[in-house]
This record gives sequence, C-alpha cells and structure tokens, in this order.
Amino acid sequence: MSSSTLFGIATFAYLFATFFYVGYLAFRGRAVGNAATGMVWLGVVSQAGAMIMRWVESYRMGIGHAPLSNMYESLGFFGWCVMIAYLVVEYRFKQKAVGAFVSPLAFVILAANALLFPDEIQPLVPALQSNWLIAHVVTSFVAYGSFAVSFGVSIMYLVKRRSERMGSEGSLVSLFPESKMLDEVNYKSIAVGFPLLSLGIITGAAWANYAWGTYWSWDPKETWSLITWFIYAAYLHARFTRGWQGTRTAVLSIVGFSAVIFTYFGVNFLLSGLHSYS
Amino acid sequence: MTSENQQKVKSRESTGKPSTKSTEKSFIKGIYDSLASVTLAIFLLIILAMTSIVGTVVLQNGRPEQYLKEYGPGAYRLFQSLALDDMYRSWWFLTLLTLLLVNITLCSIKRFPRTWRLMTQSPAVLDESLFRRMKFRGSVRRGVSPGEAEERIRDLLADRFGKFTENRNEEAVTFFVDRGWYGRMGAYVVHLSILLLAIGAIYGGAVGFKGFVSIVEGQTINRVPLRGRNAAVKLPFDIRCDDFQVIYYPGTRQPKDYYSDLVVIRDGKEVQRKRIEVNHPLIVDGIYFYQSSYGVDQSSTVTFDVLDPSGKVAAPSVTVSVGQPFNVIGDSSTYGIQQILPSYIGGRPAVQMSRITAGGRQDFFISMAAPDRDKLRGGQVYFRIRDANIREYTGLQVAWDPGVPLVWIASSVMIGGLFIAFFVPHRRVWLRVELDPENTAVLMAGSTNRNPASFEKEFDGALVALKQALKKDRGKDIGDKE
Repeated sequence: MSSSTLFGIATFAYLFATFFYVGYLAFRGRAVGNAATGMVWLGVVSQAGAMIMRWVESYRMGIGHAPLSNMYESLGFFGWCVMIAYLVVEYRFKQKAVGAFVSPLAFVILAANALLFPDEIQPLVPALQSNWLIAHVVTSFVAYGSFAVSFGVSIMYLVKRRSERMGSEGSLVSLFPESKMLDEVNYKSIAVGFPLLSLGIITGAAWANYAWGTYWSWDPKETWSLITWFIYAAYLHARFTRGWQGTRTAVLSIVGFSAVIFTYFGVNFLLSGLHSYS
Repeated sequence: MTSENQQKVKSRESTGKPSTKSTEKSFIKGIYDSLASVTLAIFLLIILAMTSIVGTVVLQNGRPEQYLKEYGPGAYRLFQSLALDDMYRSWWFLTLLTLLLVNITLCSIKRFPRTWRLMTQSPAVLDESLFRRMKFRGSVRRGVSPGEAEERIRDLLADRFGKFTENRNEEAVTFFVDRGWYGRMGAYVVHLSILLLAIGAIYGGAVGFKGFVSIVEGQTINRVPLRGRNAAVKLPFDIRCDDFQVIYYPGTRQPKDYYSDLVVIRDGKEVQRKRIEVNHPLIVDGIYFYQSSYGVDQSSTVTFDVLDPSGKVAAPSVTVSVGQPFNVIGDSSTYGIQQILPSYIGGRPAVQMSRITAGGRQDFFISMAAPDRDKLRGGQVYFRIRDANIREYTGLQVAWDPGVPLVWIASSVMIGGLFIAFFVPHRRVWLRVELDPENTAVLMAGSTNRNPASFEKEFDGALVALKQALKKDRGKDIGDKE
C-alpha cells in the first residue's frame, strides 16, 4: 500500500465521519456516534501510516527528512492535527456533535491537498535542513489544529444562537451541546493553541536567527503569525478581564482562525517572502 | 469568572468640593486610568493586527522606481507621507507598539496589588459571609465528635489535596487548602516577558549591526558593509575564505548544500577555522557569519581548445571570462560565456555558452566532465574546456546582536508564564468544623480562577468523600441526612 492510498483512505474516512456525525446529531444513536468516532480514528491512523511511509521512503531515496517540508506534506499534517485536537476535545468533553463541524474541515483540507499539490517527495533546500524544522512545524500546526476546533465550535455557537433567537427549536440545532459548553470548548481550544502558537513563533524566530541572521524581519509570514497572535491575545483579554462571552468571543475566534488560514495559505499564494517553500 | 474577580475596588475619590486642582487631578487620573485599562489593550491589539496587514501587502523598503511602476506617483506620495514603504519602522507604528508597552506596564502595576492580595492574603477562617460568597460550597452535619471529625478531615485533605493549614479559635477550626497560588502570576510573567523582549530588541537594534559581505576564495576581509545604509563596520579581526563548494542533489541542479571554509585571523595569526553552511554559522566574539549566497567572481576565466569535427586543433586556444565575446578563426559567429558552474558533473566545471550568428542566438552547454560532447552540436568547430581558473565568492550575512540572549530569556519566560497562566489554576478550599460537641457541623467552600468545570468535579468528589468520612461508623450506611 502506498502513502497516497493511505491519504486517500483518510480523506474518505473524514468524509464518512462527517456523515456519521450529522447522522448522530439527527438520531442520537450510540452506534452512529461510535461509527463516526471510528472513522476519525481510521483517518488519523491511516494518515499517521502515510506520513511514516513518506518519511521512510525519503530516506530510501537518500534525501531523508521529516514529512513536513512542502505544501503537500504540511497540509496533510495540518488536517491530521485538526483531527487529533478534535479527538482530545471529544474525549474530554464527551461532545460528539462538535465532530459534525470539525471533520468536514479535515476532509476539505485533505481533498484540496490531493487535488492541488504534487505528492512527490522532494529534496530539502539547504535552509530547511535544520533540527528546528520539526519543532517549529509541529508546534505551529498543533496550534492551528486547536484553533480549527475552536473555529468549528464557534460556528456551532453562532448557528445555535441564531436558531434560538428565531425560536425554531426541534431541528438538528436543538441537539447541539448547550451554548455554555460550546463557549467553554472554544476557550479551552484557544487556551491550548495560544501558548503553542507562541512557541511556534519563538521556535521560528530561533531558527531564523540561525539561518538568516535575524530573529525577526517582518517577513509576511512572520507578520501574519503575529497578527494571529494579536487577535487571540485580544480574545483572551476580552474574555478574562472584560467578561466577554458567547457571540462576541465566537466572532473573535472566527476572525482568529481566518488569520490562521491567511497566515498559512494567503501568505504563500498571494504574498511573497522567505517562506515561499512551505 | 468567579465572584472574587468582580469585587469592586473602592473608589478613593475625594468628597471635597470640586476645585481646579481636583479637576486637574481627576483629568490626570482619567488619562492614567485609560492608559492602564484592559479596554485599551484590546483596542491596541486589534489596531496593531489590522495595521500590520498593510506592510504585508505593500512592498517594503523597495526602490522608488518599483513603487512608481507598481502603484503610480499618487499612491507613492501617499505611501511616503504615511511611511507605508517602511511601515514597521514608521513613527506611527512604533507609537502604537510603545503605547502597548506602556499599557501593559501600567495595567499590570494597577492590577497587581489586588492579585497579590488574592494570592497571599486568603481569609484564614471560613465564616458565614465568606461561605456565602463562594461559588462552590456544601455542608455536612454528622453525629461524630468534633475531634473525630477533625481527624478524619485531616486524612481526607491529605489524601485529596496534599498540603493544608489549620486555623483554630474557640468556636471552630478552619482547614485551608491553597493550591497553585502562583498561577495568578502567569499573566504578569507574560507581560514582564514582553517588556524584556522589547528591551532586548531595542538594545540589539541600537547597539548591534547587520551587514552583508562577499568574499572571493582566497581573499581576506575585515570591513562589512551595513545593510540598507551607506556605511561599513571594521571587524576587530580578519576573515579569510579558503574555499567554497556547492554540492548538488544527484542528477539535478538543485543545491543540496553549500559550504565555505572560513579562517579567523587576529594579529596576523590564524585563531579559528570553520566550515560554515546554511543553518551552521561561524561565531567570533559574538559576531555571527551566516552562509547566505554564493556566485562566481568576475575575474574567473576558462580556457577552451578549439577543435574541428575530426578532433584536430582548428585554432589557437582562447582564455575568456564571463560576458567577454570572442571569435574563432574561420568562423563568422561570436561566442561568449553566459554562466560558469564551478562544480557540476563529477565536481568539475561546466559553462553555459552562447553563439551569436546573423541568424540569431544559440545557447549550449559544455562540461569538463564530457570533453568531446560539444562535437554533437555539429558546428564548424567545437570546444573543449582545457582549463578553468574559477574563483567563487561566498555571500555572508554578518550580524552582531547583543540583544539576542535577552530575547531568548524573554521568550522562555513568556512560555513559562503562559503555561502557568493557563494550566495552573489557583484553587482554594476551606473546611470549617464547629467545635460544638452537641452539633458537629462542617462547612466546605472553594474557589478557582480557571477551569471551574474541572474544579467542580474535584470539589463535588471531595464533598461526597467528606460525607462518607463523617459517618458515625464508617463503612456502614446509617442513612442520616445533612
């Protein structure tokens, strides 16, 4: 079995997980819920297998490096981190309904990856040959994964509030977790993501200092990661000391994740800079 | 939010008649209060996030003609007046950053005393009013004697919470568990780290330098031109480049690695040698030399044999450098070297050539590793590289930033601060035992500043265990009620 087959399996596993989670929302069947979680596990394990295979394969080609070095590899890893973060939330909060809003994200990420980016293993340019690569990429993407969960939960929150205001109970929405719980999960994901994002920026700065002689050069990628950091810092201050909750924090969280997405894709495809290879 | 954070700070405003002095005072206080407010912090964070976008969209530190070409003269004038072409160093962006630093400082100073009290001056006795203020509470009434109750509570607390203190008066004894008090320091530690970071960055920027120098193989330098400025620094030592090499991924022109062999010379003596490559700089006296780029020096020459298709010498050999056109006897075309690749196939040099005739231009490639391959081009003559005198240069970023250690210290402090701010909740539990032999009542109350859901579980678990522990005869359920 090749690594791209495994990625394909994972892509469809997340698609089916989405269906099952929606089904779970509709019917509350235990079996459906378990099938959904099972699908997520299938996806996560297949992806892990695929990444390990690529890693091994790169060594066999004599250009050994961790599978985190180009768009294809990092995007796959992003999808994986999203689902890992989700599994943690599902386990901690016992809220499977959230999966209906998170697994489609992972599906879209993996499907887009397969369609848009070449999957051949490429040799590393000298700038990427550093031990900082893994630390920087892993911390950043685990942070992105947690932010993706907070994004999914915030969307749920807004949908729920809207239907509550319109008084249309009884639909799928009434089966969402209560808004307080959604708000809590939103905060918790950001509370995990924020220190990791900080660590991602710091490891990136340390690496930049080794590779380019300056730890901060206002490169678009650096600047956008700082913009993301500012937004989540605003979220945390608003929540802790100004007592913001609910709709306003959900909106801030969505804005924050939009900044994450722009940091990741927008900078690579719309702007130019030092990060052009990833 | 727990109730403790919502206690209002008593206003200390004077009750006297309004006078000019007090108006002035309240004006200054008003400014201080807004500079020290979290609202300003949120506002600044959002404004900084929004304005930072500009510099990622508008070209930074470009040449005037680039702006004129891309945006036109009107937009360029606007950019210049708002310093958008160098916005991260512009007066207004630096003002915003400075305001944020002032805000962080004043806000922390203003809020710290209250936090300190919450951390260190917890009430030692659980009385009725404190009990009612707490979000988490419960009570138990049991038939065991106060002494027995105390014993069992000590066991329970040691088991569930670890350390605790006791405070005794005539009426009651209060057991107090105080965990993770330092978690409240988290936010202050993070704020302090940001100030340290700023100090490190400002100090490094003011004292240090960043430059770029290229050294041809064999050459020695001790002056480094500064980046973006018309100046240079003189190094307290000399740097010589002995050799430079590029290694390619097999079968490609993609560099796998490039190295420079550098020698540090002080007072005429070699004191250090190092082979540097990308991600592995040379450090001398805190000055970093980073492998950054490379190229072939203009003085490099290549000597060609000129042969006819049968392999016999057709003309005297020629020695030329890049961009220097030459002719060959009996051939009307003009030849020239476009580019020299110093170590191509088998680590041997190759050249990219051009041939210009009346009919146009033809590019071709000659590698020293394949001496007669050029014959296949089918020209009147073909070339063979007899000798190459190639001098490469290595491009080095040079940086001295004495603020860097402080930046790393600040970064570590920040991570530590974030960790305790988010993951070390300050949790307090009080247990009051009435010292009345007739009526052993126990009150239990608790508070946390983070993660109330998980504390609720812990608290409720402890409360259930307390009820269990205070049963007259442990192990047997005698069905008594609270």
